[in-house]
Formats: sequence, structure tokens, C-alpha cells
Amino acid sequence: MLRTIIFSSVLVSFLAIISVNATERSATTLSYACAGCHGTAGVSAGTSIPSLAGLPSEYFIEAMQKFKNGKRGATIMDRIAKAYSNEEIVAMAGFFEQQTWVAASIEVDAEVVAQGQTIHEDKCARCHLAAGKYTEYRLPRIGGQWADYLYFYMKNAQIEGFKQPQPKLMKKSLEGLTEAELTALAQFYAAQ
Amino acid sequence: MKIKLIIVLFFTILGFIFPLASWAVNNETDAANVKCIECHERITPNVVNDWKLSHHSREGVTCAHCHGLDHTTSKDSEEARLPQPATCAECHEKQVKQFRSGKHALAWTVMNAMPTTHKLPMALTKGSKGCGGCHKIGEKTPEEVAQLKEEGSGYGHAACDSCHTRHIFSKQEARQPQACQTCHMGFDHPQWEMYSTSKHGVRALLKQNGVLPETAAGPTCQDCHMQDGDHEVRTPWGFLAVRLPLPEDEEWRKDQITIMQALGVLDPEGNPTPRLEVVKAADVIRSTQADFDKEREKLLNACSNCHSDKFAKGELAKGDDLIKKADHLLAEAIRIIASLYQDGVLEKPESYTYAFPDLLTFHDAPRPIEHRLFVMHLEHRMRTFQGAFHNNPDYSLWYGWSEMVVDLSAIKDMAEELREKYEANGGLAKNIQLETTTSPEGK
Repeated sequence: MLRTIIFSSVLVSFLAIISVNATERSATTLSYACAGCHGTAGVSAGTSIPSLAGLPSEYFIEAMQKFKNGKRGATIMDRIAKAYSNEEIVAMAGFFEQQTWVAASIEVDAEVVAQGQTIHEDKCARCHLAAGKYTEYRLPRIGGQWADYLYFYMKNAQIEGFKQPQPKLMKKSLEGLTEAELTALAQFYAAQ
Repeated sequence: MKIKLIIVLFFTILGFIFPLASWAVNNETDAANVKCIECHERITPNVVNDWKLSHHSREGVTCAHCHGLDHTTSKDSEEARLPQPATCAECHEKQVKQFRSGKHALAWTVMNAMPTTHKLPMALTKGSKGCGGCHKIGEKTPEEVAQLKEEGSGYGHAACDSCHTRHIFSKQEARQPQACQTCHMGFDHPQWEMYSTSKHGVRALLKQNGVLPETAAGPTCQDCHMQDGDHEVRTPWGFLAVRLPLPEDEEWRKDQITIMQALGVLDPEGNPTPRLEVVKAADVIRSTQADFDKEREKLLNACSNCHSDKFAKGELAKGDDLIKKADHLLAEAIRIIASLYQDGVLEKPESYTYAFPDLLTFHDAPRPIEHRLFVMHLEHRMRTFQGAFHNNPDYSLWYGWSEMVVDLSAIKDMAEELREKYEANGGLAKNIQLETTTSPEGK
């Protein structure tokens, strides 16, 4: 009997600890779930998954909220985001903002990068300053981001009806760009 | 011992190289490390808060887009770029193009074209504590901005923020009549006082505080002067209510010529002066009938939302007629003073180009009689016609017309006294002074 009581007490205490940890997971703990795709400390191993390290928390929070509320289309993030409370999203945002950015490491074609630079200067440079390296508030860093991710992001933006909130100016700038031009832009940014 | 020395030297050199390498890396990634918000949330929290409430922040337009990336610490604040309309045009091309074709864009040029501007303290003009505070809405060249910085007036020279105040830059704010209030009030252009106490303004303000429903009629300044959000702001009569071609009515024609002579755009013989070109370039007057008609039609279009064409045309014609009558009073006063110069009773002021009153010298008018003329022109004549067009009976009559009548009477009295003294002085203009108790300001 005594054994049963002791065993039950230990079990209840153990479950209680698990339960507390489940509801009050630290930002670092929460980020482990992201690491599988977005890399350790938000540095993605590529190529179509974005790095999150150093991302301004405002951008992260807005993106997660939009995934969660079905306002931003996704492959899987719309389902994953639903698993997190608003407080957890804020905590994760703070964690990733504090991480150090590591630029993507890909092989690029210099000629294609040069084409991308021309398009960048014509259409994107007024917002994405310093070759896309500048980031603040809701403006994400794209200089050094993975090329495939950037390509798909821009491609999705061109699809009528695809839920991907973005500034009007960006939608306008991307209008009419061919796949080759999008590739060039993506390579230019990835090379930064 | 030698090995120890080598080790020490190795680490010493490393100690120099490492920070240098680290500096190089940091320098290379400076753009990524610019954190305006982090600092300014502490230094100027309301600036950041305003911006966070703005459409700019929602659209990803941040500090660096307008101020550049060069200012990164408190020691290099001079490097922050101060925006001009060209900065706003990077995104708001249509609005800036409209703005540039209207009078507001020329406000800085107009201020600098006034002969009196250069006699006032810098703080009042380029320093924005006087005329410059409102005329800053005018566009400045990069050279002018650089010059302002050199002269110690490095801030406050953006233009669009006159109505879309920084850093919230609200479209909604700029659509309210209060957006115009700071500048269109007071001595020579009390449009706010006229409008806000007119039935147009009263209804608009009652809509704002919820007494009248939102959909009720109640025109704002913008409804008439910036229809459909058009940032080109111009009026048929321009600022000073003089225009070309001259009126067909013979008496009014003569009166307008006299006023133009006193404005220095025609010489005493009636020939155009270089100042006419400056005034035309600054778009202060409408110089063709078609130009006037275009602006009048625009206003009638606004009136037609509530009034019949016949009624609206009739009301505007009453304003035109009041200008004609007010011009007659002012022209008489100008001629009285001009005759004092011509008859030798008064010496031509040194700063005047001609022996003729110069209304654009403003308060630099040399003597009480010329001061009184200036007030009659820029305060009271303006109120007479502005009050009529802004539908404010009291302004047109008591603060405008009636004051002009008093001004003319005082100028006649002063002229008579000066002539008497001149006679008594044996026909010498020198040292003649008025003893009249009439205040030169007419207050």
C-alpha cells in the first residue's frame, strides 16, 4: 500500500513537472521545434527554408500570426503556427531576434548575380537598402538569405489570390518579372 | 627566454590584428546592424511611437528609407538625411507631382523673393520662428538645404510634413481642416478664423465632434481646395487678389494698375518691372484669363455638391465685386501717398525703387503713413475679400471693409497734416513728422 502511495506521489509530481514545463516552455526550448527545418539558432541549412536568426521580432510575430489565422499561405507553417499561443510566439520572436545572422552559402553564377543587381537597383533598392542587408521592424533581411526561399516567396507573390500579405509597392515591383529574372534577383540577394 | 619573447610578441600582434579584423567585419555589415528604433525608443520615444502608428511602419518603410543609413550613433546625427519632397516622391510620385504644380511648392521661393525677408532676423525666416515656419512647405534645392545647415538652421525643412505631420504622416490628419489651421490664420490670411466660424466650417466641425452625422454636408478646406485629393492647391485670385488681364471696367482697371504699381510689378509709368517676372514665376498671380477660369471652375465644381450653379456663381461674383470696391479704397490711399512723394512733401524712402509706395516692404515701411497703408492692404483688404469667399459676413464687413474705410480716413488726415507741416517748413520735406494721435497700426 505504502509503495503504491509513494509510487503514485512520485508519478503525480513527475507529471506535474512535465505539465508545468509544457505550459511554460522557455524561448530556447520553443526554438528547438523550429530547428529541425530552420536550423540551430535560426540558421537554416537551406535551401528553400529561410534563416530566422536576427529577424526583427515584429516581422516574426506578424508572420506567425498570419500563418496561424490563415492569412498567409504556406506549405506547412500555417498548421505549425496554430500550435503556439500568442505569448509563445512573442517569446520565440525575441529568441530569434537575438541570434546572429549567418549568410547563406551557395554557389552563384556571377553573370546571373549581375543581372539580379540591375533588377534590384531598378525595382527593389528603395526599400531593401544595402543590397537587402538592412533590416528593421517589419522589413526582413534578404541579403544573404537562401536563394530558393526568396525565389518561391517572390513567385508566390505573383500568383493572383495567393495569401501572402506584402506592401503594395512590392507587389507592383514584382509584376511581370520572369522566372529567370526572379532567379537572378534571388541569386543576387543570396550572394550578399 | 627567446621563446617567451616570441610568444609575447605573437599575442601582442594578435591583440592588434583581432580588433582590426573585427572592425572590418562590423563595418562590412553596418547596414545590417543599424538599429534606429532601439536607440530612439529611449531618446525620442514619441517619434518611434508615432511612426509605429503610421502606415509607413505597416508597409515596411522604416527610418533609413527617409533618413539614410549614414547616421548610426549620437556623434554623427548630422549625417541623418532630412527628407525633402523628392524623398517622398520615391513612393508618392503622383502626389508630389501635383504638389509641385501648386502654390505650396513655391512658398519658400516666395518668402525669399519678398524684399522684407532679408531684413528680418534669421530666426524668423529661415529659422522657422516667423514666416519660415509656414513657408517651409515650399520645396528647397539641395544647395538651399546645405546653405541652411551652414547658417545654423539644420532642421525643420521638410515640406510634406507641414500637413502630414511627422512621424505618423497621416493621410486622415491631412484631410482635416485643422491641418491648414497653423498657417492659414492670423494677420494677413485668417482663413481658419473665417472658415471655422462660417457655416461651412461650423458644420464640418460639428461633424467631427459627432453632433452631425458623418455623411452630412460640411465642407472642409480640402473639399474645395484639394478636390479628389489633388495636391495642387491654387485659387482663382491668388494670394493678393490681383491678376491679368486687367478688368474691363475702367475704374477698376485703373485701381488695379495703381495696386500693381504699389506692389512694384509695374513702374510708376505702368511698365512691367523685373519684379513682375519674379511674381509670375512664384505663381502669386494668375496671368491669363484661362488660368483664372480654370481655377474658378474647379471651385464651382465643389460648390455644386450643395448649391445650384446660379447661386454659386452669384456668391463668387459678390466676392469679385467686393475686391473691386476694396481696390478703389486702397488705390485712393496709395495715390494720396504717391502724391506726397511727387509733390516733395515726403522724401522717397531710400529702400524704395521708385517714388511710389511699396507694399512689399511690409513692416519695413519707413513712416506711420506708409505703415498704415501696409496694414490697410495686407490685413484689411485681405480680410474683405477672403471673408467674402469664405462665407464669413463679419470678417468681410467689420474686420475688413470697415477697417479699410477707417484706414483711408486716417491716411487722408495724416497726409493733410504732413502737407500743412510741409507748407509751414517753407517747402522742405526734411524732418517733417506727424503729431497725429492716430495709431499707425489702426488699432
